[in-house]
Amino acid sequence: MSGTIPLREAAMAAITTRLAAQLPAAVVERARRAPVDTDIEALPRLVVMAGDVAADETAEPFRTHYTIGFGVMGYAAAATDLEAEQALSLLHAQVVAALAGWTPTDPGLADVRELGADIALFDADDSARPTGSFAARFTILAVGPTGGPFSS
Amino acid sequence: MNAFAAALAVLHADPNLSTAAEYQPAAGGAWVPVGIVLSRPQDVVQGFGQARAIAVSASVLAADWPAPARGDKLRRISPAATWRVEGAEPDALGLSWQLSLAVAA
Repeated sequence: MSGTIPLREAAMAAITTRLAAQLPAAVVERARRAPVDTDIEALPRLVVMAGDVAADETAEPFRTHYTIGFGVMGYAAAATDLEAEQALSLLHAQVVAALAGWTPTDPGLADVRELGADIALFDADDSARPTGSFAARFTILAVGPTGGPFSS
Repeated sequence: MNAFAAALAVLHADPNLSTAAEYQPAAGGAWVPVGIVLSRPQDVVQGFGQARAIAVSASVLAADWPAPARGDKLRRISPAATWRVEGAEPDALGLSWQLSLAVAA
C-alpha cells in the first residue's frame, strides 16, 4: 500500500503546526541545517528536527508501529544571564507542555512522549549576549499497514 | 621595558587598532580612561542545537588596568557602548589582559 504523505512527514508537520499554535511568541522552523545566528535572528526560536525511525511489526497483526524520534531545539536570550536562564527554562517548559502526551488528529499518528533535554547557557567567551539553547528529545508513535508507512 | 611590552605599547597606541574607553570597578567609583583593542569574533557555539553567536573581547594593558575582574564595567567612548566584564585572563608575561565582555543590561 502507498500514499502521498509519509507518516514521518505527517508527524513532523503536525508537531511544527502544534508548536506554532501553542507558542505564538516563538519563531518555529523545521529541518534547518544552518546554525541559528542568535545575534541577528529573532528569538525565542524553535527548530524541529526529525530523527530516527524504529519499526515494530509485533505489536499488532498486519500493522507496523513506528516510533519516530525528533528533537526540538530552542533558543532564547535576555538582558542578563539570570533572565536568559529563566527564558530558556520557560521556553523548554512551554514546548513540553505543548507536546508531551499530545495526540495529533492526523490519521496514523498517536501519542508524543518526552524523553528529556539538554539545556545550557552559552559561555561568555562564545556570546556577548546572554543566550542559551536546549535540545529537547521526543518520540511520536505512528501506526500504518505493514509495508505502508503513509498517513494518507 | 622589554621587547614584548614595547610591542604591546605600540599596538595599543595605534589609533587604527586601539579605541578610547573607560572602566569602572564593580564596586563603583570614578570611570578611569583606558585604551582597548576590541575584537568581535563570531563562531559556532558549543551549545545544544546549532548556533552561531558574536563574542566581544578586549585587550587592555595591565599598566592601564591593573586588576580587571568579573562585574567591572567597560564603556567605549565612540561609538558609545558599555559592556560588563565576564572574565579576565592575563597573558603569559602579565603585560596585558584579555577581557571577555557581555552586553551590559
